[in-house]
Amino acid sequence: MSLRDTLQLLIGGITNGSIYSLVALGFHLIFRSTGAINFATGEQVVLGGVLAITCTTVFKLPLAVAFFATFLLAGLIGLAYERLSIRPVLHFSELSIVISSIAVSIILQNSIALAWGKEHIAFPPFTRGNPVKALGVAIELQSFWIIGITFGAVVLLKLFFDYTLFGKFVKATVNNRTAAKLMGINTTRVVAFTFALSGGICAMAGMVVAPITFAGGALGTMMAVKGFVSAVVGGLSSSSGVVLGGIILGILEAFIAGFISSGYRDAIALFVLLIFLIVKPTGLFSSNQNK
Amino acid sequence: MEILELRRVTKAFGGLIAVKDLDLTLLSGDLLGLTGPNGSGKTTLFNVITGVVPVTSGTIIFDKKDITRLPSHAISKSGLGRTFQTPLLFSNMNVLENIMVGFHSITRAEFLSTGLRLFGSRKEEKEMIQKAHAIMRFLEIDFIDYEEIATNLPYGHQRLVEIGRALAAHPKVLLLDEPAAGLNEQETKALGKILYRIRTLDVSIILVEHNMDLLMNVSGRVVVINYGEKIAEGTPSQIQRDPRVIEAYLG
Amino acid sequence: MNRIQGSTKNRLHIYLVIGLLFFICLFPMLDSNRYHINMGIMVGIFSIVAIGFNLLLGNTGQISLGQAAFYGIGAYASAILAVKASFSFWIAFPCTAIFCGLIGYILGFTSVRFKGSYLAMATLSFGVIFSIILLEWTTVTGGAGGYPEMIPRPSIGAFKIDSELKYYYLVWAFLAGVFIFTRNLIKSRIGRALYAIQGNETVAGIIGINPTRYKLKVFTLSAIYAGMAGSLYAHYATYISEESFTFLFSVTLLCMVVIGGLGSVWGSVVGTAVLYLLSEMIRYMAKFSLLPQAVRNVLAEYSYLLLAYGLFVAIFIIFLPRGIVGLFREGKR
Repeated sequence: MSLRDTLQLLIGGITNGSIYSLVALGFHLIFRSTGAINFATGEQVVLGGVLAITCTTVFKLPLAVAFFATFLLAGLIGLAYERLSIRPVLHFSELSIVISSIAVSIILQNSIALAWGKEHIAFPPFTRGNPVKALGVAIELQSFWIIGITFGAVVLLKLFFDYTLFGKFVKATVNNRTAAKLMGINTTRVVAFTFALSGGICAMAGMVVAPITFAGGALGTMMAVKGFVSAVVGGLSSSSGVVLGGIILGILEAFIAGFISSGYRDAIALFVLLIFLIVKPTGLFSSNQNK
Repeated sequence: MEILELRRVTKAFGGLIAVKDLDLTLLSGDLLGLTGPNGSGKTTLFNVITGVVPVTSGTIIFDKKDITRLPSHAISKSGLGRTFQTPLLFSNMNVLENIMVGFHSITRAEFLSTGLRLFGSRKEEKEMIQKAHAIMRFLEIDFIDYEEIATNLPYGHQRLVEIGRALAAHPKVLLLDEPAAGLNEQETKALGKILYRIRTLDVSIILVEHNMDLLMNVSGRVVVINYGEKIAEGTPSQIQRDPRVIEAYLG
Repeated sequence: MNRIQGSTKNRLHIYLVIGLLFFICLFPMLDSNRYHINMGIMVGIFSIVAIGFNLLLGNTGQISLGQAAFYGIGAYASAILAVKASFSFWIAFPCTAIFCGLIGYILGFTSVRFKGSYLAMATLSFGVIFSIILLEWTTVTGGAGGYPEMIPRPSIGAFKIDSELKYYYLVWAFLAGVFIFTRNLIKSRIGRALYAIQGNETVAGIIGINPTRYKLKVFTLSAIYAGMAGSLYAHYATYISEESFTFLFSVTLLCMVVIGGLGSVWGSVVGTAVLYLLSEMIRYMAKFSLLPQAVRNVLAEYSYLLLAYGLFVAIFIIFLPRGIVGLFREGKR
């Protein structure tokens, strides 16, 4: 394989991987704040795409405004999700939380199908134009957006957690909920916030990838799975780990899919998941011994 | 005869040494009292003996068998029973079932036998129900509604049910973790009577207790540990006069 | 104590159960509508999967989202044995059950090593991988077009089970066996061991229960049940394709069991029947010309039904965690 082909696959892999990273971050936040896996994550990604469509086509909002509107709306939905479905069962059992989040994913998936239909909806790229040619490879303009927004989100999150007061509250709660409660932090509010933030991040991912994969449709489950695989690979309890995990998965997929039939492509992620769960469930970059 | 022997048992959690180089011997038929200030490692010791956490170093010999590296269920099958500081009964079963689940290691009916309701499993089940009621009578808790969800009971009753569950397996050794915690004087006296009665079943006991009256009254020998190390061992009267013990509690 | 009231309640329950049993036995002879009997057959087949799944989820606390895979393996294995190896149903059926049990045993390691969400995700992966294999391995499975050959209906000697009515009784006979077997299991020492594992695995170990052994066995058993149901389905429908064995199936299964009642064998059957009836009711209402067209369009949407399922589960898990049968129980579990 020539250098050019390798670079091409690499770019593609990093682009997809960035999306996986965002979804993985969504998982990471909820996992750290509640200890449970949010099964509705995938649908929250799809939600982002379709909300963005409505913002731009029905409300005729300019793209940037639509972007933030989607983020906020998805955040609100995340808050509702936490308040209605998670908080009541938070003290039951882990099983109840899992069942609850699966129920919400069913509700979201079918609400989206009813409201926006089951077909994929075309979404225009953020900026129109021909792919950029560099070093003999062609990079779609949307890839820049995807990688850029992912990078920006990660940086902003880090700044938020490290330098703002509330961000530090979140970090403390996420590290040790009991200790945080004892220090006077309103952990309920923090948990609610993580659901809102996670919803927003997933929506962002959905919106930024919509021009490539189209909005809506049945993408939810696969997104959730790939995001989860990325999180497991990188280490569910490490924020930088999950991001790296996403990139790794994206690149891995890109290179392996070149060699085997595209139908089996999605299965790659699943096999990777199973291997990691068996061999190194804490992930590559996690220092924690959690799970 | 030594029924349970701990030889130089050490348990470390990373840098924290919870149990340090502990030697402990329980003689058959004895009731050994184990006490020490809070956090001295008593519950960790129980966890180590029952296989809940692995030993860092040392050996545990039970009934002449090395059980150091065995999993919990195998240790239990060998005849070691245990209760917990806060009673850990199963909230998805009622009182009778909680006791009956204690029979698991001495009963044999498996999937096929129970699914097809073969005669052997039916007989076993009937016997278990009878024996469970007998245990409740033995522990004087037969006034409790045995169909009540076990975790709905007051703590004192839950403790006794938990002892019942442990006794169901006919253990040779019973590890009791602070059974008198939260009991009033009357209840504690009743507990003392029950302990005596259990010993008549040929069950050797290690009793962890903070209630000194109870501990000194029922124990044949007492071991005091502090910071995971044994600081004194002897008869109750010897312990009560031991300066190191006094210092550990007051110092 | 509510013992006196309890006995009247108990009598009512017994009447209810007897009534239900009569209905189940006589229904296809009284109602000759083929479509209705088909429903009865499908409820029976799904119930078998549901009972196994409920044993895993409701009694042992293990969440498997991959039951569709075992159901599908059962269907395709039975189909291949019957068509390619010309096995009679009566041989293909047990072979399939054993085969699914084997696969269940191998994949059961997930149940042992993973807990909660991780287990859910791992089993979900199996289900999806299986779907992909079904679609891609066209030489064996026929791919997206479904299994290419027609699967024969079973026969006992000269007596062919070729009518809906006869197949109904075949399915419900198997269901009765599975039902009784599982109920016996739950009410025994094994059932208590499973509840103990679900309640607190560490404590279960301390009282002599080997969690690994039992989780593996239950996982295997649930795979066997699903495989049996798959075989029954294949020989009934005579045509099978990947569509019937998707993640959607596993999710619907979850809904059936949560709504019917976790940990209860009756719950599995009731939940399956209720959800099936619900879907038929909605389909019927969608044809009801008295309703405005807009409403009818919504009702005709399959998504609407699934949305209802999701809402029910979300509400039940908070307010009615013991499901529909929980309303009939005395509150002791």
